[in-house]
Amino acid sequence: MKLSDINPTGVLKQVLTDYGVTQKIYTGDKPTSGLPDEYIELRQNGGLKTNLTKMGLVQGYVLLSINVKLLTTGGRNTVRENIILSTFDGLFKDGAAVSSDGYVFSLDPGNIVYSGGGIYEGYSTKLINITFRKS
Amino acid sequence: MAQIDFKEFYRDIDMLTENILVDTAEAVIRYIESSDVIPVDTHNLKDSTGVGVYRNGTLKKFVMPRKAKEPRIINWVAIWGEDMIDHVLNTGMSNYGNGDHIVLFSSMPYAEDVDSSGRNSGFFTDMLSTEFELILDEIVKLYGKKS
Repeated sequence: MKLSDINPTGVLKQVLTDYGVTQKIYTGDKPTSGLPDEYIELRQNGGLKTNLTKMGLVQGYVLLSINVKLLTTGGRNTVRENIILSTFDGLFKDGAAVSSDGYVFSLDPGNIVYSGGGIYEGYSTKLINITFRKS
Repeated sequence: MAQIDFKEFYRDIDMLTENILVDTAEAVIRYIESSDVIPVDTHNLKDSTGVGVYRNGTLKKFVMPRKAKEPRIINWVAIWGEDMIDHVLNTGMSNYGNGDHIVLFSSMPYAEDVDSSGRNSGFFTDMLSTEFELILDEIVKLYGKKS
């Protein structure tokens, strides 16, 4: 397996799109202005781990962020947050793994890394860890 | 069969360790929130402090006390937590690639100045980090209690 072949964020973006996620998904191409009211960002979190007993098996994490614009009052739009979050409940229901293009994605057991405001200007953010394996 | 049992045992220990790390990070933020331990003039220093939990370079938990509504303006530049989360992710592999780490962050550039001189000298590197260790000890003791 070549290092250049490892692209978990691109594959996960396709998985989410195929599943019906309608929010804009950025994988390192997020603009500095003109962001939509709701968007998702995918970034690799940490390095890659190789299981040496199975050469070619690579494991790691993708950090998925769900960002929802704050209400005009400055408060969080928890209704929209929950609607978007429930999409992922369906995708990874009961610990289910999702396979695509040689990758297997699943929710990390302690999956919520952060939930609140103050990460991105004018948005509330949920950071969720998703594990991946590629063989 | 024995191998399967061992894997479950290893997973349980791993989750227990992670719970201790996360509980400690949250306790540190509660400590910061519940008192005036952070030297405050405008509360921005307190607001910009965060705690990250890393396991082998992967960010597993991030806790911040603030719910910021306005950026901090320094030299006409607006500074938000975004600067910190980028930094937190980027330093994960380079600085905390091996083992378990709990890391105190501040996105405010002047935090280093506050720590290095003046009446609050050593606040982050001495006073708060000592408190950090005490909190970790307390959390570990809680997990060690038999019910």
